[in-house]
Amino acid sequence: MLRGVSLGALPVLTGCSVVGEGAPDLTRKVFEADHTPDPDVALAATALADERAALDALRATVARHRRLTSVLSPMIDSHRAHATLLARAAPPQQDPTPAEGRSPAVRSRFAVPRDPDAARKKIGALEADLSESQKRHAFAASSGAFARLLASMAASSAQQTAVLATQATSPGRS
Amino acid sequence: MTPLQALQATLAAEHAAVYVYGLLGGRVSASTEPALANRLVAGYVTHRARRDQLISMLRSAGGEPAESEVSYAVPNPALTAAQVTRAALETEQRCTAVYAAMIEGTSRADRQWAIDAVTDSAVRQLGFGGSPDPFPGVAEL
Repeated sequence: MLRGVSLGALPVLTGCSVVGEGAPDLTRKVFEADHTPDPDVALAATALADERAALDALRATVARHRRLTSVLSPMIDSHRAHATLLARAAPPQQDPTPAEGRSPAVRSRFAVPRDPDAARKKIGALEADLSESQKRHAFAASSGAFARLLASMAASSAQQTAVLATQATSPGRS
Repeated sequence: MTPLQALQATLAAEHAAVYVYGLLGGRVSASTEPALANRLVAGYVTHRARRDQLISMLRSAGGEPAESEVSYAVPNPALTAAQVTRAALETEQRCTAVYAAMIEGTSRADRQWAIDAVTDSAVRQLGFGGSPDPFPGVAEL
């Protein structure tokens, strides 16, 4: 999913600095002299929580509606890739949900509709909301490189929203 | 990249996109390929509007907008509907990457403009046969 490119070259936050290949202005300490945390770290933690919530919703939906697996699996892959990158940016103390696979109780917070079409529409709405949320994060990010990454994630969710909308209106799809 | 450089780079991409979309639109029959023709018209109108917005944004920022080249290279001969579709997709993919780069070099209203553009462009790719991408516009991922 990450196309085999070294993660070390990615313009993402790490636990202690923002790193980006060929972009020295991206490297700065998270904790300044007054120990004020970098605002992008909190942003990354929020974005990560959003991505993990989307993953939980998608997995719960696939678990209930197996025939949606082929439609939703690529979305799970995308959000997993997003979460993997964001997890590198959010230190454990900022990450309320550190484990990749959380308990079924947490996962079950997303109520999956009984009807598969309704379930697909609900996922479409979730993707649209997530896209808007990541756009807001991108606007607010201090680091330009991190803003670019978050906006790309927003664009990815917008693509998924469009795909789901197309399938919802295509005859013979359910 | 300074904000002005980011705006100029994006304007250069829009000049190219307007040219290519205009050329591609002339290669497609609206009667035999109505869906493709409509998508090309929509793309042309969108990129032309963005070009004009960028010119205004550059002037507001104290820059001198770069002028369009006389012509631009088209990604392929664009002699068939499939080639036209592919050329439109490649053009949109390049625009998505340029918008993403603009996000990195700008802030406030200009960054918001680029965020909206990258999202719209990524979705527009789907209409030309593109597939959803985990990181549209970020080639290194």
